[in-house]
Amino acid sequence: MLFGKRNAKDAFERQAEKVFPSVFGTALRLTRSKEEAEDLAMEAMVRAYEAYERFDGSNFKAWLLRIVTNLYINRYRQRQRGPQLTSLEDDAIYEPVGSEAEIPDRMLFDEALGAEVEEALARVPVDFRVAVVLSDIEGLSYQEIAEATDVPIGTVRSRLARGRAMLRKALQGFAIHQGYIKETDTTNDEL
Amino acid sequence: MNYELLHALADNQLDAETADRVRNEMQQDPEMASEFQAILDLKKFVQTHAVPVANDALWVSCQGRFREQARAKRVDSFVGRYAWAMSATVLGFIVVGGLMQRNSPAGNVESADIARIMMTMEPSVKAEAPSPVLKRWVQGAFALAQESAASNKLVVRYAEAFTVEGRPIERYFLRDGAGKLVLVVLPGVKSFNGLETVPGNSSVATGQMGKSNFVAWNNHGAGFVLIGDRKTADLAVLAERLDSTN
Repeated sequence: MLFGKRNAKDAFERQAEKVFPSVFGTALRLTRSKEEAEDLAMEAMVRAYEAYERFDGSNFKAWLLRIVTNLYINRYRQRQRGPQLTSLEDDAIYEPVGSEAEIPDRMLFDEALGAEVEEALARVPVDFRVAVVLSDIEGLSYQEIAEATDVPIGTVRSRLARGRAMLRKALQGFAIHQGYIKETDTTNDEL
Repeated sequence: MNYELLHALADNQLDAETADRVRNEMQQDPEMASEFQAILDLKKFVQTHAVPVANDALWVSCQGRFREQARAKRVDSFVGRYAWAMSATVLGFIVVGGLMQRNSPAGNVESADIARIMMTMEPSVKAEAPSPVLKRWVQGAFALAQESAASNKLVVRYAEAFTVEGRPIERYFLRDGAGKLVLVVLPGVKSFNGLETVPGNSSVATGQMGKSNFVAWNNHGAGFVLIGDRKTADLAVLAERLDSTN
């Protein structure tokens, strides 16, 4: 029994080491602060380590990202942003972008990630950004994103569509220059 | 045009039937097909530029935390699993120690114990007759000690046996021409601590209890305390005479 538990913990470390960059990257993209991302990632890993016996064995990466996201939503977002509410119908809600360049942590953040994409992601409100990050960067399914963010799958679909539209708008200059997006593709702003 | 379905198709999140239906619609709607391609392009762009972020130092810190957690859990587990055994062991030591203390009266008696024993007026258990051996000795001692310090015969008024704090005690109430005396016999007591010695008589110790003097000595594997309202020297002479009768 003792060896069984030790093996389980070893298995956890082996799997966790592989997906840790995704965990930290997601934490970084959610908090947009290197210091807070490290704290969030560490907390998530410790919680996962403690709860590994309850892991159902399906998708380890999705399970870890679910813990990170839940932790962020419950602990960081409520504390940092207060009772701010976002509405799926309100396209005008954007996080402040003007002052972020002045935040010291932001410089570290830009050094760690691709500046253009991350800047564009930063302009996407957090609910939509979480969906885009988990889907397009981490490759989670809608069901897994729904579980991670504790919303219905229909909401995940909606947030992804809207989040991508916002991201496309924020990226259009750079993406067009790089040839990823055609100029005519940017006309769907009503998304 | 249902854009959410296009996104779901791009993400392979539609069932086969719905996916076929959306693809058929796209074939008939160039704008829809263009939008679908734009979604695929954006996904590719994000996947290419937003890569996982390594942080080796943080991972090493996490591993350190894992080990701390594992160590703390092992300790908790051990304590949780064996707490009953540890508690039982400690309790066992206490009980055994108490029983040994209770059943094995100490060979020494402190001066404060003498006072407490002597002051115990009520037996803690039902009084019994003294043990035959000591009774015979006391009777013999009194019979032979025809002359007390007051030149009168020493008379045993009555005797009783009982225990005080687990210690067996025999008590004899005596009287001679000078007044009443009490002789307490403590079986198993080999010495008395904290008492003064009587000048010129190293085998007898002395002390005072209230207004009365007492002398104490050891013989026959027991301790003897003789208390009376008279001088220490007289008590010592009487004690020596009682002791010499053996």
